[in-house]
Amino acid sequence: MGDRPLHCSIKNPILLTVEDQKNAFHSGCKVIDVTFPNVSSPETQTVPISFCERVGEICFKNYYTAYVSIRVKFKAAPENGAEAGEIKWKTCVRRMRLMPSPHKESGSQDYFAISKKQFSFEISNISAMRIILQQPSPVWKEFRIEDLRLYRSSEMLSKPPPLPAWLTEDSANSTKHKLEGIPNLESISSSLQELWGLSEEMAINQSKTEIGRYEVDGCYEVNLLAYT
Amino acid sequence: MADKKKPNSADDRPQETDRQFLERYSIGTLMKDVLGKIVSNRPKDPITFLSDYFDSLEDQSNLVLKARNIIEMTHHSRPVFEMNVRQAYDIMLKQKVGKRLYGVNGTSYTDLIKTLCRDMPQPVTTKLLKKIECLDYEAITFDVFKSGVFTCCVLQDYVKLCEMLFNSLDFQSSGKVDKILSDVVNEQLKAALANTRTDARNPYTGQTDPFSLSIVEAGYNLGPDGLFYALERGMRSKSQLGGQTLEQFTIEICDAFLSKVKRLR
Repeated sequence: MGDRPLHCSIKNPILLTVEDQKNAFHSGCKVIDVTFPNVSSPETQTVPISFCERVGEICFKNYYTAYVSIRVKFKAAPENGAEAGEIKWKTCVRRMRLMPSPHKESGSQDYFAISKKQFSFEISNISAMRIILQQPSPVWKEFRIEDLRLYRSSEMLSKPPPLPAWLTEDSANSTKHKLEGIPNLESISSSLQELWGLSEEMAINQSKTEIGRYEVDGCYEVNLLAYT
Repeated sequence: MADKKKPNSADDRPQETDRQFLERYSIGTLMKDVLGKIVSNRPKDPITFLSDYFDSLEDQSNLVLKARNIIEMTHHSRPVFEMNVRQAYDIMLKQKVGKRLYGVNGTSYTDLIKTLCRDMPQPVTTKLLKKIECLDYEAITFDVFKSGVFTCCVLQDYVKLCEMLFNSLDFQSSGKVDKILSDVVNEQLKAALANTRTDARNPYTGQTDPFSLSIVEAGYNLGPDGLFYALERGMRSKSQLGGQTLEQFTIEICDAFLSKVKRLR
């Protein structure tokens, strides 16, 4: 996850219901719509299109969702004359289990990252994405996912910064330091630290008040003078 | 009768004359002052303190010297130091600047700084003055005065410490330190001071934190381990750059200190 998340617009989850006048029940299924707004130049397109080239990784924090499915809608291909009107949704991740048991707590607030390996096919050139959350257990009043982020690729493009020397230093080696010609490394070190301390003390106590010079970059600036 | 009276009068006069004698020269107030100063300043060597104090009483005419003596009564780390600085400022306020105008102006301030720094090598004083000096006609507020005086006192300590460092680096007691060693030491110190700038960017989180990981890193670089690695690297280069005297060494090390002194605006 070396690069920044993809720019996308995530809508609020919509609870799917089967409504009847007498029977309204909690279906335990929510859908999150994700679009990729792209502002294209006004000369070529009048309608703003939404598409994304590639999605490598999807990261989010779970909040009591039991299963998650991801469906993607591909960019409508203009050359398929017959299917121009049909826009198909394809299931990329089918009913991935987030909580081992929907009634129990485990996995309910974990962080998940769905990578390319878990996709049924590679997500490329999509126009929209739907994330379907399911929670069949009646125990939980509310369920959702938080902090949803999409990344272009899941490969580590750059190495993480190396750990600082003081963290990786092996304390067993430190006692054996003896340089030829310098018998007193400890006293040099402590004098240097005292010098450092003195400088810091002085720097902290520097006055912040200004004398009120009419100077800019060391030269007298006439424009700063005023009659009032 | 005459004989009897004479001893009596001779006895009476010395008793009164003693007290009168002391009052004539206000020795009582003088003693009270000295005792008060000893108690509040708590010098390590009271006898030397007393002798210096009485010596300085002769410098009553020069306000700058008087102020300097008061400032140097105690170490800058003690809380009494601030009171002494305030007293010194009050003394210097009596300086006549113009017609019916009294106060601390740039000239007296610069004079005070120069006498405070009289034990330091000249180049160091010049560089310090470039940063904190004031023009002759500028009025010095107490804040600026205090900050400048404090910087001088800390610098006095710093220069003494430089000498100690020089002696520990000069293990052959030749009076000169290998330039390579002094360069390495200087570099480490400068790196530590640069790291603990209050606007330093944390390289790991990219945010501007005021004292964060950078202090730990700076401390490591100045500790025996970090120093060992740096010195080893320096000594491996095996180039002969000659030696440095105490004065040259002090000037270079003071550069690191002076880089932290804010320029007056």
